[in-house]
Amino acid sequence: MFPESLTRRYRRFWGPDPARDVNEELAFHIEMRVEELVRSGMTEAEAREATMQRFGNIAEVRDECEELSQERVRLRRKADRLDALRQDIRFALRTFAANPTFTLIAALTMAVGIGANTAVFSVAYGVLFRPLPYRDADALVRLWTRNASRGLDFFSVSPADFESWRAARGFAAMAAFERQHEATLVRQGGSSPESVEAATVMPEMFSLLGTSAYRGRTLLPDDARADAPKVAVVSHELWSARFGSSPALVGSQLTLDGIGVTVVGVMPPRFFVPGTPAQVWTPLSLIGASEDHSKRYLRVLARLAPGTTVDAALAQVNTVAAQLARDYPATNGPWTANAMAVTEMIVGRQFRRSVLVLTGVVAFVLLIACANAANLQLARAAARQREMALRAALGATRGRITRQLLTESLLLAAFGAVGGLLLAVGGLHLMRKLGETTIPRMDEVRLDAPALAFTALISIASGVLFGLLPAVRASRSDVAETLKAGGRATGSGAIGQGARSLLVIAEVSLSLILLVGAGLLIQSFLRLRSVDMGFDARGLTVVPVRLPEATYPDPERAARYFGEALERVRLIPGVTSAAAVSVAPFAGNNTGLTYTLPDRPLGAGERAPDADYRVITPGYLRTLGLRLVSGRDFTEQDRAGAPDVMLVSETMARRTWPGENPVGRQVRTGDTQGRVYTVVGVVSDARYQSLETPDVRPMVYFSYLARPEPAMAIVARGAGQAGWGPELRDAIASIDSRIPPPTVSMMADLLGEVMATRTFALMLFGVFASTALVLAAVGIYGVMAYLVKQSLPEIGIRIALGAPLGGLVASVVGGALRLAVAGVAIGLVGAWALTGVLSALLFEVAARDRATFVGVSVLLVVVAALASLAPARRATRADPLTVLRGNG
Amino acid sequence: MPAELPFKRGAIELLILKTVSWRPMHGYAIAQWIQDTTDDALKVEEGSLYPALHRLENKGLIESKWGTSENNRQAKYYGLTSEGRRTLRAESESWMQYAAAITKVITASRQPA
Repeated sequence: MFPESLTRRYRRFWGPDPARDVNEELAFHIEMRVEELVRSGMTEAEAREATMQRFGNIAEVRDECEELSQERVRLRRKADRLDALRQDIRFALRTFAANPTFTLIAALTMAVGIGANTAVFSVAYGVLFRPLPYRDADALVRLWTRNASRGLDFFSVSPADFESWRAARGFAAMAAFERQHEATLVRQGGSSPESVEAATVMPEMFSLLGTSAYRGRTLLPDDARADAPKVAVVSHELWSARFGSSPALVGSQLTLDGIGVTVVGVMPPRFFVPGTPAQVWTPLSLIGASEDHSKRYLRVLARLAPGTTVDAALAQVNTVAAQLARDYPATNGPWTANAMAVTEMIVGRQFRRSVLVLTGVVAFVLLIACANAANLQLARAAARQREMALRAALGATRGRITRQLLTESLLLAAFGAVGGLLLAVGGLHLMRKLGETTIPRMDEVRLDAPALAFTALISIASGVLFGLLPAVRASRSDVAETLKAGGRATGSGAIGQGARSLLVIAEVSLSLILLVGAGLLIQSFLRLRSVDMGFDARGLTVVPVRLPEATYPDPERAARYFGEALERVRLIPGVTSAAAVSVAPFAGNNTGLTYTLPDRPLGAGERAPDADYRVITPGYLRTLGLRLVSGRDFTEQDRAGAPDVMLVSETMARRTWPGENPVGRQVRTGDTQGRVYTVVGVVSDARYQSLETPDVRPMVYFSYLARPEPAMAIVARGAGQAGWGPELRDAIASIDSRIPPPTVSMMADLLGEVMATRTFALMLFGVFASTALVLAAVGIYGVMAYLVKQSLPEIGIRIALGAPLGGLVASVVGGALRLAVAGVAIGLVGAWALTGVLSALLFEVAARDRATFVGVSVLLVVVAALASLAPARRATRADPLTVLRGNG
Repeated sequence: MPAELPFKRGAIELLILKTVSWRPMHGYAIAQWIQDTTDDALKVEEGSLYPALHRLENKGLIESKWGTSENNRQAKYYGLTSEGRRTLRAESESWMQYAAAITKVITASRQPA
């Protein structure tokens, strides 16, 4: 619009100077006015004075104008920056639109890395790091008795032992509770009965844990007095789920297993007594408890004294235990103590390790993703060398070009982050679904703020990381040379080439490590699935039923109940057989006993052997699919008053009477005073607790009619799958309305739960490993495609000179294979060093299983070859004329 | 005296916009032109002229550039932006309506009822 003077433009080069501009503007005005007045006849001095007078306070005017000018400069700078940013973003988006494949692959790569990271970080945070709802949770420990000779590491504590342990030093407090039981709850006014997990807890437990009530109060020591009114405290979860968070619950009456109690408090959300899933707590008193040191049924929690370690405190308890062993050799001889921090107990040593392994795996995938993104950017930077050179020649500063490239990278990372967030939400949903029943605290896992911050941090960091490399390279390139070369490959490309090859090698080696891990887990999984359980899980349904003592005080009535239940279940169409067992396989805690043989007394210092036991009804063997190896099954005649008989498992038979027929032999339960049973049959082995132990435990079976239990599980076999589950439930519920409707589980589901941690780890590992494989393949493809493109002129010449096409393909594929083999070699070393951390998750597979290592290596090399085939084919299609003209 | 009327402050900005709508001018020329056009009835004070120019520039209604004046000196020239042209049109309109309304009242011949 105006001619701008050179001097001013020159000065402007250093930036605007508002103060000077205002001064000059006002000075000009004054000069003009003075000149005018002089022209009209004033003297110079008069004119100046008149002018200044007319101007008024010139300093004030100047200051005001200056301030306004400063403000204008600031506004303009901001607008310029925004403008540049908008321009950068527009340009970046245009570039993306021009290279949709690159954009998609790069963004997806980032999305996978970020998504996996966020999801797993959320799990790791929720499960491992989220504080427990106790005061100073790190000082809490769980204490057990231990009997190394019997392989019992975590056994309950007898009240007599507990009282002695309490004297041990190193503890601020110690309290006990009993194992939870399924209690029948009836609300005030008499509702239909419901089942809840209830436990009796010493009132001191609440102050030990340091958690106050959410509503009302916790249990107090006085509540445990025999003459105190019966009270209970309930969990927040029970309160909100079953009582609609009604404030009236506190102070109201409930009937718990036939006994009236007053609810005095609700605990805060997420509170539980470590070691029991109980949702209702009633006071436990040890007054009048058995003085027999062998009656081990208490669970013990303690708070360490300040500054005491778990080991030091355990040593103190062991001192007490050793004294007890000396004082009561018969009951306490081989027993010592054991301890574990509550934090560790809740999360679980194995699970903690799995999560840490998983976190490592995810970091690997993120590394691969970043390497891939960097690789793509490097390749593209090389392809855009001419563009960058042109922009530099047209006056773009190095900073401007760097900013442009950074904008692109950050924008790409932002796309990646958004995609990753979506993946994370989906992935977390999936993980929660898979892990909710078996992974501790899984229900508490949320995609939360720290995880989000983590995602943002990673995406920005990687954006800068892989955006800077090409920027540095681009700004370093020689403008003249690049332009001269007309955009074709120049000598300086070699630097980027080396970096790209290194990145691919790194990707291949990281993928190999992940694939080896996945391979090992898959093998473990398959082997575990093929473990012979000894019974047929298909079509088997389990229904645990507990009869409260208050409702069924005598065994005869309970027996009638179960007899009736079995009859009704057998009448359901589709059910082929039904029976009852005290604890069904994989559906509850083990029961065991010690035994002696009347005809083979124990030698001095010899300890009674132990076996697992179950109480069963006739027909159990057929229902489960167990074989009767010799002798006979139980009949309706094996009842109280008839001769005491038992069945033994093959393992029990082999261990006790090797090479002999056990039928007719006698077994005494307990040490010396127990009942003597005659073996009437031998039954095939079955697994009840673990799929993973190499040996099956010895097992003896008692007849229910002779030795009833208040809690039994009804097992039913049917032709259909889950079709008659509801009928089964209704049939059992219809017998007695005072008993809550039972839970029906499919045996296949129970087994699935046993395998769930493993399935979970396997699935995640599998997903990550295949992601890594795809990313590595993309990386190899990218590098080879770029290489081929760069060497098209050379290839063109070779084709023009008659080089065989096969040789061309071989050289391209060979180049990829060299990278792959180098990566595999490094990866093998890494895997060799790292797979040891997986050993806790492996089953019957060595951490350095050779077949897995070889198979995975071959797989990677094949994938590398396949990934390079497409670029190789493009090379053979190169038209010599086109590429030699330089438009290739 | 018109310069003491209450709308003086807003008025100077409107006058500036109108003045520079002919062609870009420096501050002195703007003051002169207003004074000449109003036959010296409106005497623009420098104390309010320059801050008004800077304010208008900050609002993006006028823009400035340094140029060489008629007597070959460096001077800051102000020109109207397209935004300023729109504002001038709108403000002139409302000013004239205002003025017409005032005129109607003060020239009224009918006595209030």
